[in-house]
Amino acid sequence: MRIFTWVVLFLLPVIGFAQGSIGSLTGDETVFYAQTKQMNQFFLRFNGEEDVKGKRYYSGDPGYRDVKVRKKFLNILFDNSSPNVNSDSKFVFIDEALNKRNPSFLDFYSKGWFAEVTTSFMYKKEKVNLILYLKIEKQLNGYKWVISNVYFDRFESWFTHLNDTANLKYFIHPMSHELDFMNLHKVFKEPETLDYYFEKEYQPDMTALFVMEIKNGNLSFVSVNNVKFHVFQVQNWYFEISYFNRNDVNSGWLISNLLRLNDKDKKDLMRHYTHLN
Amino acid sequence: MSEIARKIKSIRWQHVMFTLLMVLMVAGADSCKSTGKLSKKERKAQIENAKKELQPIINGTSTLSLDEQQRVLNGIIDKNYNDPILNSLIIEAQQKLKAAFADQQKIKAQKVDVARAALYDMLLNKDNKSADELEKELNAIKSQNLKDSDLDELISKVEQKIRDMRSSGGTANIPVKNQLMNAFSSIANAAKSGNLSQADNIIQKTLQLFSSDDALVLIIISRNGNDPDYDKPTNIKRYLNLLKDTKASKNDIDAIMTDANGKIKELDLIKM
Amino acid sequence: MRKLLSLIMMVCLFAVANRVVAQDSLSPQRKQAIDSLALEKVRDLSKYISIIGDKTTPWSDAQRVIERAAELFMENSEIGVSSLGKQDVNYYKVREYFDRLMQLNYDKVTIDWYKIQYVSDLVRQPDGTYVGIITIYQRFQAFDKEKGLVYEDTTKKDITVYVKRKETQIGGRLINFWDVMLGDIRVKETSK
Repeated sequence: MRIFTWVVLFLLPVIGFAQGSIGSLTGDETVFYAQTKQMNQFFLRFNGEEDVKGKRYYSGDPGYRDVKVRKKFLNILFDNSSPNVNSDSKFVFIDEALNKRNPSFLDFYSKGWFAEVTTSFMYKKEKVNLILYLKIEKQLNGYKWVISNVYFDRFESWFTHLNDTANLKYFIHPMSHELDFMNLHKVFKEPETLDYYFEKEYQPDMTALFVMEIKNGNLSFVSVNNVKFHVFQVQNWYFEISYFNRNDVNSGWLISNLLRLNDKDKKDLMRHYTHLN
Repeated sequence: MSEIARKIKSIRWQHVMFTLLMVLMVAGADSCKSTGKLSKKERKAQIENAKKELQPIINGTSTLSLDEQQRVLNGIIDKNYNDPILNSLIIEAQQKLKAAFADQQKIKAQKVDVARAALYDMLLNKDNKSADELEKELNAIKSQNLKDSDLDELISKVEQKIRDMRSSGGTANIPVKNQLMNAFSSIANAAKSGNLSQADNIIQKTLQLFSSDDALVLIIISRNGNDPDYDKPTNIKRYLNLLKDTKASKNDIDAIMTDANGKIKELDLIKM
Repeated sequence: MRKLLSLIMMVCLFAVANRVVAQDSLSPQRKQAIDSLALEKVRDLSKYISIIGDKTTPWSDAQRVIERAAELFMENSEIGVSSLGKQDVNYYKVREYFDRLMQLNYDKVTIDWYKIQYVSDLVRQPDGTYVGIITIYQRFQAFDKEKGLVYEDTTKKDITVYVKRKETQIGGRLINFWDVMLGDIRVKETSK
C-alpha cells in the first residue's frame, strides 16, 4: 500500500492526471493523500517527520528524518506549474537542504518565516486590499501569531517623495532657524508635498497608520482573501509557499517561488516585506 | 423402621381384640347416660368453662389459630348445654370467627394478587434480571406458602424460565456489563437503520438500570499507568443520546459502580 | 554557610521546575489519545450536521441536536465559507450556520466523509490551552424529490480544536480530563 501511494504521488504529476470531477466516489482519495493539506504537513514532510499517509514519525522511529524519505517529499513540495521555480534551482535547493553534514530543517517555533495575508477592508466606503504580515511569537510557555507589518498602497502613496534626491524645490532652507522657522507654514500648505521635508532615514510606520485609521473608524475588516508564507530558514535560500486549490496530486501548500540568496540579500528581502530587521 | 415392625409382630393380637371390645362397650354405655346422668354441679362447671373458652375468641385475643378456635367452638356446640347465656356467646363467637375467616381470605387474596404480578414481571423479566436474582425473588414468594393453584402454575413456569436461563446462558441471565454493551450497540444500530423510536425505547429501558438520568459517565481515553486521561465527564442520558445521534458505540465498559439498590450510579468507559 | 546551601538548593529547585515547564509538551502516546478524542468530536459534529440537514428529522430532535452540536464549540466560534468562484470568505456564527442548514429547502441531504484526515501538531497557546487543526474532506449532496441531485460540492474543512487539561473532584476522587472543544472552521470548496 505504501509503495502504491508513493508511486501515485510521483508518477501522476508526470503522466498527467485526468481532470475529472472530484470525489464522485467516496473511495478516490488519491488527490487528498498527495495534497499538502496544512502548513503543519509542509513542515513535517520537509523534515521527513511523517509517512506518506500522514502518520507521524517521532524521534527514534525508523524513517524519522530519513534522507530518502525527505528527498521524495522535497520533490513533491514544489508547485509544478510555477514559472518562478526552475528545475536547476530546485535540484540545487534539495541537494543543499539534504546536505549530509549540515542538513536543513524547518522549525515552526523559530524565527525566519512569516505569513503574508491579503485581506479586504472597507476604507472610507471603498473596498480595498491590504496586506498584513504576521509572525509567530513566544509568550510565557505558549505561542501566538502577531502582526508585524502592514502594507496598504494608500499609505504608501503618502510617502512617495521620501529621500527624493532629485528634488530641488521642496525644502526648508538652511538659515530658516534665524527666522524662527517662520517659513514652516508653507510646508503644510500643500499636504501632497509634505513628505519632501523629512530626513532621509525616515521610515514611516505603516502599522501605526493602520491602527489610527481603524480606531478612527475609517478602516473596517471584510475578509481574508489569500495567505502565503515566506521562509528564510534554509541557509542560502528564500522560498515562498502558496496554497494551490486544484484537483491534482500537485496541490495544497507548495513552494511557489525559490531564490538563492546570501545573508545580506535575505536581510534586504525580509526588510522589504516586514520593514523590520 | 425395622424396630417398629418388630414391635408390631410381638403384640398378642387376642389381647388387643379383647381390650378393644371392652372399651367399646363401656364407651357406649357411657354416651347413653351423658346429659341426663351429669350432676347439676358438674354441668354448671362445664358451662362456666365453656364460657371462659369462648371469651378470648369473641375478644379476638385467642392465641390459637382460626382453625383451632373453630374446633373449640364446634366442641362446645356439640355438647348442647342449652344454656341461654352460653348460646348467645356461641352466636357471638360464630360471627366473630366468620368475620375473621373472611379477613384471612381477603388478605390471602391480596397476597396472591401481589405475588401474581411479581411472577408475571419475573416471567417477562423486563428489568433484565439475572437467573440468581429471579430465583431469590421466587423463593421469597414461595416462602409465603399461599397455596393457590394458579400461583403454583406460575411458580413452576418461572422455575422453568430460571432453569432455561441457566442452561442456555440466556439473554436475561447475562451480567449487567453485557446487558449494557448490548443496549449500547442496539441503540446505535436502531438509529443507523433509521428506527429512532426503537432507539428511544432502548434508551428508556437502559436508563432504568441507573440510579438516575444524571448518573456519572467517565470515559478513559488513555491509561498512563495509574493516571488515566479522561474525556470530559458526562451523564448516562447524554451518553445514550450520543450513541443514538452518532449511530455508533465505540467504548468498552471499564467499571460499573452501583448504589445500595443495585442501580448503577457511575459507569466508567474506555476507548476501544 | 547554611544560607548559601539553601540558596544553592533554591537555584537547583528552580532549575528543575524550569525544566519541567520547558518539557511541557505532550508525549506521542498522549498526543495520539487526544488526537483520536478530537477526531471523534469532529465525527460527532459531522453526524449532527447530517441529522440537522435531514428533512425527515423531527423538529424537536433537530433542536436537541443543534443544542448538542453547539455545545461542541467554544463560544463565538465561526464558520468561514468560500466557494470556488468568489474571493471573499463569508463568516457565520456556528448557530446561525446550523439554523441555515436546517432551513435548507432540499428534500434530502447527504454528507459523506472521505476516509482521509490530517491532524496537526498541538501547539501551546500563551494561556496553556493547546490548539490544533484537523483537516477533513466532505462531499455534500442535496436532493429534490422530483429533480434528484440538485446540488453537490466537495469541501476541505480545516477545524480548530482546543484541548485543555482540567481537573474535577468527583466523590473524593480527582479526575484529570481533557476538555476538547471545537473552534473556528474554515470551509473551502475544492476544485471540480
